Amino acid sequence: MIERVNQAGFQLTSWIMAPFEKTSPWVGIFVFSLLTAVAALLAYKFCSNQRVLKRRKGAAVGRLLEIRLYQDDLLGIFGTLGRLGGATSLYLFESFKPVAILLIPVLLLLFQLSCWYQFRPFDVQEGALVKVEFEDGKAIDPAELRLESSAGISIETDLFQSRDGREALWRIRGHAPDPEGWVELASREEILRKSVSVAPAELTPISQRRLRDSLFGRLMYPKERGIPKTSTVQSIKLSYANAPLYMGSREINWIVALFILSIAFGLLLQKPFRVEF
Amino acid sequence: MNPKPDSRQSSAGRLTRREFVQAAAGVAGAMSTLGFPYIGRAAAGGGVNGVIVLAVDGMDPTLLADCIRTGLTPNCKRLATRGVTRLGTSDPPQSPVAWSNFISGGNPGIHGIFDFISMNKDAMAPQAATGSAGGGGVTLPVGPYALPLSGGKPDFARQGPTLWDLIDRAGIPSTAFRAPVNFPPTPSGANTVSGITTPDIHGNYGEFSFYTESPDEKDRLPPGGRIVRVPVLDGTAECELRGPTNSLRRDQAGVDLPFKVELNRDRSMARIRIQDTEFLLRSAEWSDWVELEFSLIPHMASVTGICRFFLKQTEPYLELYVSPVNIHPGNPAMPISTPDDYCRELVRDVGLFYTQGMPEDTMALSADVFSDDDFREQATMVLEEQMRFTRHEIDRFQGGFLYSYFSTLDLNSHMFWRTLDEQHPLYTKELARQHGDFLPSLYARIDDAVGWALERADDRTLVFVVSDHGFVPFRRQFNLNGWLMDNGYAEPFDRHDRETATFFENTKWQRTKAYGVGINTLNINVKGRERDGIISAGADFDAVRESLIRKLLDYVDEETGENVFKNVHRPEDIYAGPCVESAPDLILGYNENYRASWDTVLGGYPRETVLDNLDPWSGDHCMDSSFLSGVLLCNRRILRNAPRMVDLAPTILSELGVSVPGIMEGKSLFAG
Repeated sequence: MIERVNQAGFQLTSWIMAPFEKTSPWVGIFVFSLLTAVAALLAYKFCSNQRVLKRRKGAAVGRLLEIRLYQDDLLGIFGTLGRLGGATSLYLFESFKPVAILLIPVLLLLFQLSCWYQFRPFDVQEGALVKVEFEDGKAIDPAELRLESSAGISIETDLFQSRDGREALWRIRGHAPDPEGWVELASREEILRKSVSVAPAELTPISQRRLRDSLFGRLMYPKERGIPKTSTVQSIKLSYANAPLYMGSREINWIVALFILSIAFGLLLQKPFRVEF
Repeated sequence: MNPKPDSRQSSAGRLTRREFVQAAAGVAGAMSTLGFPYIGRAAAGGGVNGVIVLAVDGMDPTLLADCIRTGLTPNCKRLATRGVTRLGTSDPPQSPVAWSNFISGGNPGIHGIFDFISMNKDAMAPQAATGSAGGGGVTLPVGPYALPLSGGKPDFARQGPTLWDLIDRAGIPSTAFRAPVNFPPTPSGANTVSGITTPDIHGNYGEFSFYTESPDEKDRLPPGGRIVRVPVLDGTAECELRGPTNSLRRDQAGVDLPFKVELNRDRSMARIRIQDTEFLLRSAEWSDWVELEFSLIPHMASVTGICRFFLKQTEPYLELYVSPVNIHPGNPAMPISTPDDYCRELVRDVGLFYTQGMPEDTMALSADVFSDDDFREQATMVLEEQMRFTRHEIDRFQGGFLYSYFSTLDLNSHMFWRTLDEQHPLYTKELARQHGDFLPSLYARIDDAVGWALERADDRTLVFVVSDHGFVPFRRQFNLNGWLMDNGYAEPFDRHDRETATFFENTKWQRTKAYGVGINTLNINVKGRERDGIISAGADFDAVRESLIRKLLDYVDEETGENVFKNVHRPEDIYAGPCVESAPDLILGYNENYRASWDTVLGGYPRETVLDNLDPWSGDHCMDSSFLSGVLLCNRRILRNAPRMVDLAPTILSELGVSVPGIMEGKSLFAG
């Protein structure tokens, strides 16, 4: 089930992202902010009582004006603050249904977009760590483990096994751009492949981990299929660094950017959509 | 000083050249924003569109001539058709002083930088002479914290005009990468990143950490670093990396970061985990830059830094070096660039970089933490990084002013001169065989940058290769303060403690007439100026000073029969300008092969007056300026006889069509 949700979501997001992969990362953020805003407006339009919502919002705004008008009356302000809290609660209660309806799709969207925006690919000649975690109490004999890689990626170190035997680590390095690179972990029972992205020319989805258990964890890394349940490997992780999204020379978190732009588009479009939120 | 009138002032009723340049640059700027390439150069009114200065600290004219002769530096050869032009350096020929001459177009009497180190005359303790980020703003005590309500005031030690700022003010693009003696950066619209004199996160010139399991070692603090003995239990060493002092705490406690080193000795590897970062290193391997965050107030305030790890060995003992924690250029804890965004932009476009002013870790080599090979590897890494950033700036250069500074030849010549100087106490044939090629190879690599600049330059772009000084051997060291004590100019509290006390802790100031602080400066303990001064200004001062000059010039090293000093200057004889009053009382020009000892520089009183220099720091330039000309290469013929550092700024300004401030004393290099 999760695999299907992941695959469908990933296909859809990839299809929407495809025209923007050669443009600035901001273009995709703009597009998804716009889509999110439209979805939110529709959810409000069809899943909330717009008339009541408008009244609740008006009441809250009225309380705010009251504070501004009677700012010299300290006791009065305290009373108004209480009434403002009440009016805001009623407004939020009216918003609950559309927000609840939006919550899961937006979370899934964030998980999908994180493939594009959370991590940056490795640079050419940048060292990276491959870390394999095994199930508790099922440490594997290092002699049985082997790591192989696609052409253009070299495995620079021997296996480093943690003292408790639960982790196996290697250092790899990409020598040429390759968005479809991989490493393959081979043990006596199985062979597991993990994608590695090295200096692609365009915006490319990246999967930091490949996971076995954890429903939430697998939803968070939708690009790759989960590790089979029969495996002793719990996860294969690559040390991708966070991708900086620059506004000029300043970094901004992509989720914050998406959130702010979605609100901005929502405010811009509320009149044409005739929606109150 | 030789103030000169601005010959480019126009007659009444006409635009001055500067006004014309500003107007033209404004139009050019507007066109540029509309998609036109930079055209301000065409309108600048000067002789050229652009100037690229490759500032190669410590490039020696003799060594460069050898490299040209042997074909190692073909691009420099193209610029030296009439031989390598020697460039007159500063007095004293120290990098902060010489580059300040370059920046301000004037002598130290104008810019006020006389040495790396000066004396705080209130505290009577040595201090950095080149400025500080400042502190001491108003704070509000809240529990263990002292929350700042106002910022501290930065101390800009260097005075006078700044070449890149004058160019920027004229509306011409101006960039200075690793601008020397510019920490904290003086306010300017030009793109600058601070270079030499920029501290690490601790506020020092650089403090490495070395973790060792060796039973022969103990915790100690060699100059420029700290050595920590760490036990390895069950294959893991628990270490702590020293962070900055917490300026937000009332007790100014340090903020240290714990980290773990997990060893696999069979495979000579280690896993290092620090904060959220983990990486594998094999023996003799360097890590990439590691970003660190030091929390000042949990979840509220922190400072960031970057460092590199070097796993020297895992067997028989763990030995791990951690570089000084550099100020993070993407999120600087102290100001290191103008505008603030410039260094962030460089990180975005090129990557992280050493922000420490002197990144080659000479102290680690002197402390025997680095072998010669280790040092070479680290120095090569630094050079390649500086090359990358220089390439980036040259590639996007479209006119205006570009200055890029290389520390490589200076710091490596200091450490590897012993491979070339057969008379140095540390020279061996084996050393020369192993490492004698290193300095020439660095000259060859720098030559590549010269090639990039020449490739980029059109016939209206000037390319300068400028070195602030050359190099001579540093074979014998002179204990100036010890000599002052032996000759009755200084008095200790305890004559038996002469060997160990430093920072003038063993100085009875009420009986001391003179003291040496810094490398080339000597001061008289003057009444009313120094905290416990005893010599009156006027005749007493003159008598002491003249006796010192006479005795120092007569001083002969008994072992070699050579004079230790070539010149001893009075400041009024060699400086002019508003800062002369703050100049040291004497400027010492050591003879070739001699220099102030390390102990004397910071106020120690060793007994032996002249002794062999047995430190790998074997070449130097803090001697008399007459031995230490720098290098000047240019893609246009230099007409001026005996060019000097101070001539560069007025030349560059004139060629770009910018008014030369009257305080600049230099003359155009292109006028005979």
